[in-house]
Amino acid sequence: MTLLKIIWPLIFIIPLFSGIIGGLNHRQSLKLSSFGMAFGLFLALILVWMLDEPLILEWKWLESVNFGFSIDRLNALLVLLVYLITLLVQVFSITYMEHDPDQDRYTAKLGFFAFSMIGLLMSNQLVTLFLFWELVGMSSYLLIGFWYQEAGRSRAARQAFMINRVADAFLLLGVIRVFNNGYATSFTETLASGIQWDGFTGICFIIGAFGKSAQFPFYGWLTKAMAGPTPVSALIHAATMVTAGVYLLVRISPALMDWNLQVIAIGGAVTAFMAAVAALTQFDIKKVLAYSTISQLGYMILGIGVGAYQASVFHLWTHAFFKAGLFLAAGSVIHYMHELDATKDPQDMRNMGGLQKILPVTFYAFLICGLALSGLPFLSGFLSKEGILTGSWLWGQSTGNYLVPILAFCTAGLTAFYIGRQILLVFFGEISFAKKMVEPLVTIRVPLIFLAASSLWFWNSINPIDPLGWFWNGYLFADLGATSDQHSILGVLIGSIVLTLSGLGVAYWLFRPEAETARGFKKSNEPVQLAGKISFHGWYIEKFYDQIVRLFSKVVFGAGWFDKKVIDRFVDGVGVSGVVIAKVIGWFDQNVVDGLVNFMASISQLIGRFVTSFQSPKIQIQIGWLLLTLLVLLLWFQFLT
Amino acid sequence: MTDSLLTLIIFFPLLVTAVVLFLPNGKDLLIKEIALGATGVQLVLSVILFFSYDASLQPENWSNAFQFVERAKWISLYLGDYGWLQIDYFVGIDGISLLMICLSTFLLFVGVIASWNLSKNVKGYFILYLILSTSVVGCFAALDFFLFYVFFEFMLLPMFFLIGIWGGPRRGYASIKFFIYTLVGSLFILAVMIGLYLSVEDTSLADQTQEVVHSFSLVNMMDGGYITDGILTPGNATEFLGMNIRWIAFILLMVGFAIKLPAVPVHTWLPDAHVEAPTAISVLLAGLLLKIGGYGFFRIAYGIFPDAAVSLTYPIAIFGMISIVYGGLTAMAQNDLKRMIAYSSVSHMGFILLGLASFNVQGAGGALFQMVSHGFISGALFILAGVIYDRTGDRGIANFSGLAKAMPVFTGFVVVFFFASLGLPGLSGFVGEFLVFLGALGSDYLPKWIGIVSISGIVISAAYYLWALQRMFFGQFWTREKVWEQTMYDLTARELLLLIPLAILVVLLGIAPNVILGPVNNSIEFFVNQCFEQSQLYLAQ
Repeated sequence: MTLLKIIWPLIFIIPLFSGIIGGLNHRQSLKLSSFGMAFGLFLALILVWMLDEPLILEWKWLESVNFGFSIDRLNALLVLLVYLITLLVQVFSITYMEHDPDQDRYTAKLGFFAFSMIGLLMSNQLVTLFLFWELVGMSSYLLIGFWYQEAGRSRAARQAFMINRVADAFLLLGVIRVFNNGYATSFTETLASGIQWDGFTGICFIIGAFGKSAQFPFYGWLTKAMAGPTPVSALIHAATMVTAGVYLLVRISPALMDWNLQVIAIGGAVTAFMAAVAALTQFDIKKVLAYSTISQLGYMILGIGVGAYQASVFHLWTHAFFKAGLFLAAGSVIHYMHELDATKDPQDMRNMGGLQKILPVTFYAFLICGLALSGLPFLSGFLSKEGILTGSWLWGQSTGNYLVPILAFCTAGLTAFYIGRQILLVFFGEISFAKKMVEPLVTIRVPLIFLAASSLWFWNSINPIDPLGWFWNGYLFADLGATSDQHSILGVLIGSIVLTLSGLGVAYWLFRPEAETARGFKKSNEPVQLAGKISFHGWYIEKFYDQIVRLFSKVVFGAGWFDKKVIDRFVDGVGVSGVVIAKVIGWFDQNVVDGLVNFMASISQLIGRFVTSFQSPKIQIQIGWLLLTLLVLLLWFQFLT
Repeated sequence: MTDSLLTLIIFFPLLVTAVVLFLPNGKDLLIKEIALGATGVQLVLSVILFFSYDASLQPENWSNAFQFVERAKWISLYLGDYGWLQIDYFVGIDGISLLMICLSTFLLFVGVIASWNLSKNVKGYFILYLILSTSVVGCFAALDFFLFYVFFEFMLLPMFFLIGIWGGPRRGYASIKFFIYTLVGSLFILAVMIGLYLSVEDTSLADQTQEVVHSFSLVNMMDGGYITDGILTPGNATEFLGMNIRWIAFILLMVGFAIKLPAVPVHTWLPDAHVEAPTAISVLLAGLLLKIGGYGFFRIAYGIFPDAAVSLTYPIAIFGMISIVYGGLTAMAQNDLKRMIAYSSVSHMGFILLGLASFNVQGAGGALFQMVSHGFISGALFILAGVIYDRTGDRGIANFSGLAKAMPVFTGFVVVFFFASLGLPGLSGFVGEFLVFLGALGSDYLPKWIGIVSISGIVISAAYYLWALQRMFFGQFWTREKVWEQTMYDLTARELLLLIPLAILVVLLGIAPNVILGPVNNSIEFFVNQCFEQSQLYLAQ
């Protein structure tokens, strides 16, 4: 245990340091940082190996608020996953980003992202979780907008952050309600106390989780996040950021009320289905994968809602590998397309075809990961998806609500179809160009081979058809207090295999190289019929956001107008009327008050002048006047008396 | 030394002003160095103050809640039937004023560096600057209402000239607007001050003279030393406009300080003053002068009229909420970077109203923390806006694009402080907001919807900051005037010297907020408890 107490802070801090070191070294940034991450990965392996009892660390952050981390087996395993994927992405990026002048900045941002994500996973106190939750949002903003000079990409980054921020405001509200309602404020205590949260608090958390995990109606940010470099998409999509919401729900699900869980189940099922539909008609190679991620996240969320959260965690684990593999393989394709012809859109599948001969490793990796996604037996995806489908079926039976299992099964068929379509369109058929390029040996091949190999069943379970056989099952869920004992059900097993095969079959029928549709695809345009349009535009979720933004900007400019034209005008008016009044008073003062004074003055002046007129400078006349006056006075007195 | 530490902190810059007055006009650099030294000494002294402050003190009433108290008779007048008039030089601090003083001395020091490139009438500028330093710190330390008022008014004068002489093109309009607005506010405060003076007596002095001794002591007012039939004595049934006279007095005080804060709808002086003020003065304006409004709520409005405060939580919270939301919305509508930041200040000051209105420890602590954190963040933001203005003489958001290419380090700082201001956890802006929300949603006096609506403020602030970031700093590098392109060099050493300490503080306070909230926790708890107990006492009368 003492060893673990030393290594876990290292595990926590290594991504940050390797990011800083990479960021400071311009030329070798990614390589240096990879060494750091490899060391961290080694430590994380030790952690997973040796961890027995949960480690808890807490200190006072504010008077009534604690800050705290805890490491149990669940997050130790997920930390390992983050390290693994980040390392692979960094190795892959050495080639992918080799011509980019801002590699150092890229490395620093990757390091910061991994640090935030690991912090999020290790958090025990809700405030700590929220802190890292937001840091993850910020670092993803920085990564999506990595090529900031292209206005479209920085706009996409902002939009992605804003959509997340709306959900985060709800999460903050939820956290605050937990504090104010006197619930336990950490995951460990919540689990131990067994307290049920009130429904509103639960909903706040669910909205927060739906935001980060790109569930309806927030899923639009994930397609925007495609503006980032492709390895980043792999990182954000596969292992890390988007699974934060799933992870949070797994942690809090014991405290949620039944109807909260139902909301989760239905929300997840609806999202899984909607995103699978949207993935059917995309042209952009990354967009298909983005929608597919949303759809798979929907599965995980659904699994939590139906109480099969072990299966959700399992799916989170397997999905991380095969989806990272798909994204990195797509990155390899895009890299090649970009080298080939920089004028064409390197992500448009209409420009592709026949790449299996040129990029064989990429092809096999994509194929294996893609089939794992579709849920073919003997691959990892089948096992975990089977767990979720079984859970949803049983839940349907017990609640009588069959909407969730039906949507889940439909999604299984659709998934097989769209991934089959993508494999056929990208890798099969005619090559319309001839430039030969050797895939770089180590940096691109190794991550791809590793991820493809990890998507085989035997890394996860000896039994290729029973999700309960997952090696980590016993390891993980003893801590959480609930191990599933649900083996797969034969009907579900057969049903899902049939659906998968038929999905793949339809894809093959439509998009095999010699089919009409496959040939027409290269020149096809956006769909025109209603269903196609809905699918292509992802259920018009962006239109929905645009409407909200439009409304909001009206309010904003209304407020700006009000401030300038009403409040400030009023203040100026008061000021101006003050001046006017002052002017009037000034006039009054000058003309009336002062005028009166002047009037008096001039009257006395007049009198004075009149009186002065009697006076004369000649002394004789003055004496004459004097004598005359004396005479008059004398006569006056004489006659009066 | 601690006996007169507070006086030394307050008056040291004024002392230095006397020296500066006798320097010949041409010695610009020397004057700057002297001003830097003076504010530096002030800063060091206040750091000493911070560490010698006794955080464990648990006061029973206001008369023993203050430390570093200094009291000397200033004006004593015998007014016949009215008894004695007693005005003291009376200063002292509790945790709330401690933080405000430390914030002030730090920002005043930063402000000198920010005005280092000044060339127009340097001597006059720094004389006014140093007078301002004295009056700001004095304001936070004063425990005599009259003394507080003197410092409060004294602040106006240098500020008026600093904006009016060294400001931008519309400086005349802005400075007059600022002056008149604030003056109206202080008239309200003056009226209440006189009313309070007539209603309280200082019994500790009365023994010596046999007569009623009216005093301006804030401690006395907060502890409720009212005479039996004073106009503002609790229980006085006098009504004015259908409202108890104490309520009216409280509202007058709130309006007076809300103008300073500023809160919507009396905020429109702020954007104009900020846009026209030189960078350093904007830093002080946002960092310090606004906080005097908030401090006035704490010390005077709430401290003396807790009964009215507890009865009027609802409208206060609504004004806070309106400031948060409306301030954020108008910030988004601005085209000038500095105006946008100014409006964001309005939005962030709304949290102080909301926090105080929730009438609990979290809310009050959040309001206090928000004042400190906003001081650092907005100071940095105005410095950042000044960086662009120094280089081009323009700040229009639409006049620039892709600055990240030409000024990467600068953009890095902009990102950090924008995110700090929009409340990213891990940076100081979040802590205050979080505590205020915790307080507002957990308050016994407020309905939940006020807190819930206010939470939308964190979305709005993200919206305008990220939008500005995208428009000005990302995209292709472009400036409205071709000549600006050459002048867009990255941060200079002086600018880095300004921004790095601020960035460190913002991160430190974000990660470990208890560094400053821990020492003052007792004061905040005492403030809230005392307000509550006295309000019950007064309302019962």
